[in-house]
Amino acid sequence: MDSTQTSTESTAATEKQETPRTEAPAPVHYEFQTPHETQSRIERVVERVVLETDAMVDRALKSWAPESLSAAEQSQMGTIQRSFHDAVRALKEKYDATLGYPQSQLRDANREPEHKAQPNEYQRMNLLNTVKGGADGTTPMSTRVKALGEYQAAAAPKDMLTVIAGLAANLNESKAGVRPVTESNFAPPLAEAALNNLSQKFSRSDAWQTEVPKQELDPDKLNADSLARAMVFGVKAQEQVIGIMEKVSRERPETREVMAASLGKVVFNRLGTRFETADRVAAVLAMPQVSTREQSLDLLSAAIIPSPLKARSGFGEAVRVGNIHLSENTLETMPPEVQMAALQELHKLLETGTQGLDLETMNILADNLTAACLSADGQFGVELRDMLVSVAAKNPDLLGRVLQGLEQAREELEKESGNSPSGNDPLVGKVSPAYKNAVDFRSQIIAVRPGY
Amino acid sequence: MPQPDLPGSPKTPNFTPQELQKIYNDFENDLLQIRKKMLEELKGLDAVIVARKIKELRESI
Repeated sequence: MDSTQTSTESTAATEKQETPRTEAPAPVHYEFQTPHETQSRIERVVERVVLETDAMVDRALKSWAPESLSAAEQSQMGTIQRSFHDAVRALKEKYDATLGYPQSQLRDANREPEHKAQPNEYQRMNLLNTVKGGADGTTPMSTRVKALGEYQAAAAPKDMLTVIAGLAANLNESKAGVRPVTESNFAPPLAEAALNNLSQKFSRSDAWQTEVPKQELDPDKLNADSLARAMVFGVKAQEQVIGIMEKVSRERPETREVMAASLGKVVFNRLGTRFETADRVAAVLAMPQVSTREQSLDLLSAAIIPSPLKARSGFGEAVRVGNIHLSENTLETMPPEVQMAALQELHKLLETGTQGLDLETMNILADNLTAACLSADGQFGVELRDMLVSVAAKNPDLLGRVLQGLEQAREELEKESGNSPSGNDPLVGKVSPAYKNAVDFRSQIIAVRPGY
Repeated sequence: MPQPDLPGSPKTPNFTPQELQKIYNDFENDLLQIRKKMLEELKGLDAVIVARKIKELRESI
């Protein structure tokens, strides 16, 4: 082996070693990481090419002098332009479909710029004035509904809710006789349109992400009261309101608690209204993972009147799955008829025992019942006492905690009233009802259930 | 930075960047073909118009 051969072999060996480095495929750069990026680029290119082509046709027309073209030539020109547009549109749809974007969705997404085309302050004011019926209140309803649509197209959900609340106030005034109910001020067509607009806004899956940031998810900012007022517009509006809330809570699980609270406010505020949604309210009550706690009682109390059976089954189920944690002042803040209905339902529930309830729920339930005893009066007090006595055997722990709570309340009330054993309220100079209840309930229950 | 996918897309298929590039390239080719066809039609119309105008010009002389 001579030196040349060695050198050649050495060189060959070196080349061999370096081959992987020199021939390693250069990293390929791909322009797109997601179908959305690709679809967006296609959209931009299509827009650009169509614009360029239209401009080119315009230039051609000018160069020919349009007036010098025959009708057939002009028609052929139009046909070529339309065919091109159609072909490009079909091409885009084909690739959109390939990328997994149905046209209906893209049409919704493409509507976005219209929503973002904000009218200025002056225009907004004019639109709102038109919605209200104009200066003399004679603007036709169709014009008002159209103006409302234009206003809401650019409005945030919160502003839309404000409009709804305003309409409801308008209607309430009319109903109360402050203003005569006429075509010009009767608001249901407007409310229906407003709720439809709101519903459509929430139907865009990104509406909540872009328009209601997570940090703003609280019932007040969501203007639940406005929605509550919207329910005065009748059964259809109630359905729409609840539909909106159901949809939002389904698509944004983090909103469920807020939605349940809002729903509670909504239905609670409309106790006098008969509506056909009690079963849906009951379903919300029983929805697993919805931590509605005391707000669920609002739902219950609202649902009980129009549809007691469904509401009660929902209530029982909600307690069973732990969605209802009866808290302080829930029973006592209910209207009397709802208190009674809730109590009867609670009675039925306790007849089956509280073994399924966890300790926290049991404590909350006991606190709630104690508070109810302290504030109870009349028939409600009698029912409450009878219930506690009759369910004692099935719920010994619960009754024990209530009696303990009553005793503690008695001691605290005595301290507050200057350690007067009579429980005199120094402010009113007589025995406070709460003190009297604490003593009476405890002694009456123990008289029947001496084991305690 | 990759953009998020179109929100709410119900069933966007999974594509590799390579596949997406191929889809886009195919689209560009198809678009070019459509544009080429349109330009040819326009050119054809232009020829017809020019021929007519020349004929009219000759007849007027």
